[in-house]
Amino acid sequence: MGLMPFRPNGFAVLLVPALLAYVATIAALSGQRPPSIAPELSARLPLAAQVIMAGGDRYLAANMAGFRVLVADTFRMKSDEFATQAQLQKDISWLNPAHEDNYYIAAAILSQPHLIPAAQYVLRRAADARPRDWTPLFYYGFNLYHFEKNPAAAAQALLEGVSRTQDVAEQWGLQALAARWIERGYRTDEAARLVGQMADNAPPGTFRRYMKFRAERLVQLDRLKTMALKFRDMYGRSPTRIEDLVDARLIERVPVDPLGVGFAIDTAGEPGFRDTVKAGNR
Amino acid sequence: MFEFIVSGLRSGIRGRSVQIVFALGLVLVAVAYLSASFSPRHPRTVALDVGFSGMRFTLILLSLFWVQDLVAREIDRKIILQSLSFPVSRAAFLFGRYFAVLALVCLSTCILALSLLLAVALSSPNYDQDFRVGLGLPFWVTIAGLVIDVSVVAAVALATATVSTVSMLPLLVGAGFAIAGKALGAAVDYLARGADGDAPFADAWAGRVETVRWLIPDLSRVDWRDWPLYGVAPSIEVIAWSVLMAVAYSAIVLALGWRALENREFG
Repeated sequence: MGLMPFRPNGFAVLLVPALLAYVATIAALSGQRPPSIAPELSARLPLAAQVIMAGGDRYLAANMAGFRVLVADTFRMKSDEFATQAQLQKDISWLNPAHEDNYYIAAAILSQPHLIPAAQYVLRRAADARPRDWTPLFYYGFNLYHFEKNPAAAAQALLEGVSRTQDVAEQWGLQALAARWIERGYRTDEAARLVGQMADNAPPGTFRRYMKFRAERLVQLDRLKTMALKFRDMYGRSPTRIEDLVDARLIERVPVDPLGVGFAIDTAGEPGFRDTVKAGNR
Repeated sequence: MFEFIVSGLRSGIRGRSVQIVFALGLVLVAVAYLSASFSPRHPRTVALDVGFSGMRFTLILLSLFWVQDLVAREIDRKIILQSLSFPVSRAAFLFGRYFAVLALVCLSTCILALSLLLAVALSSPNYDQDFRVGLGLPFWVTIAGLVIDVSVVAAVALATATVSTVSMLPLLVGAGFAIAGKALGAAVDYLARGADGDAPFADAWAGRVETVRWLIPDLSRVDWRDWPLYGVAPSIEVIAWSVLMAVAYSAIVLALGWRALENREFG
């Protein structure tokens, strides 16, 4: 009985090398690991590509990018990934400036100094695209005040938002905060005039009284500052206490702050509110 | 023409591919429902937004399949000779089929729109978002805009079918046109805002886009979803001009298609 002669057929010719190659590749790849990929936002497609991938639909492109931003784990993100996120959020804002989640996330997460311009871009566009929503203006103003140190522009942003809410408490809250920022951002006489106008425009009642108090104390402060300058002209030095102005007969008595905080003179001889003048003041 | 509309409607409703695409549309509405979970602040707005996008995608595909089924394939298989053997004009065939596609689009739109309304109403039941979506007139005006958008794409696909010798061409041209027309508004806006500060790019493309703007209508103009989503209503003037643009463009391409069909030899 002889051995059967080996007759290769097409099936075996295909199968055997394929099996060998498959086993070899498994063995070769088993010791290798794919290079680690940055976990979150390491790349951003150009705007045109985002729009084309969404079938030309910019709203859909905004939503797709929005989902991506939303699921990013910010606790694990590095600085450059935050920069990518900022750019991605600017893209979403460009695609659909009214996207509510986008401006909210921008206000919450893009709070490092180098990311503030991106946040402000998103917030300003959201404010323009959402005429009934005051919150983007509030966040925009907040960033102007705290990060860009521009209380005057910040106050204007808040005042822009007042007409967007029907809730009286929200209107009062925005105006009261704007009044505080106006006090820090404008010359005292200008601030007194602006807050006085706000008081005149407020409906009669508690809030108008409150705003009138704020305007009145600014008028008093402005007068104190003018008198402090006069004191300097008369004596060649700055006053060190408010009472110095009374002693010099420039004012009749120490004015009463209607909000109860009171006035003081700082180390440079400049009158101010007691709670805002620098430490060590009198 | 009426016979072509009726036969087109019958054929359109019976088609298998159409049933598949229609099921896809319902899946997309389900996706809209699920997409609400990805929004912490305005889940219903996102559900409606994604739903509009899904509806447009589905309606475009449906209309292209119908054009393919009712016209392109008939021409390709020479079945059109049988249709034209009746004492009717070729114009009656073309416009009858177009109106049949539009009727099918309207029917599908109603079903998909009602499904979307249900999906939005059911999404995120335990959260009352600050800014409610407009599910009344704003919603239906936006849906009407979608139908107008799709009717332009269908007209282009139909006109392509009258000259095409390959049955897939109307589908491909229609899909490309739908993307280009929708993206045109974004492209014009991008260049108008200086292309992110890339002045050479803006200069290089501004002229080309300006030319394309006259050849392809800006279909984003009939997308009025800002109204139901964010309460920003378009002016009547903007709506009127946009509708006129879409209808006029459809009329132009259908007239060209009619002319091509009249002159075509079916040997």
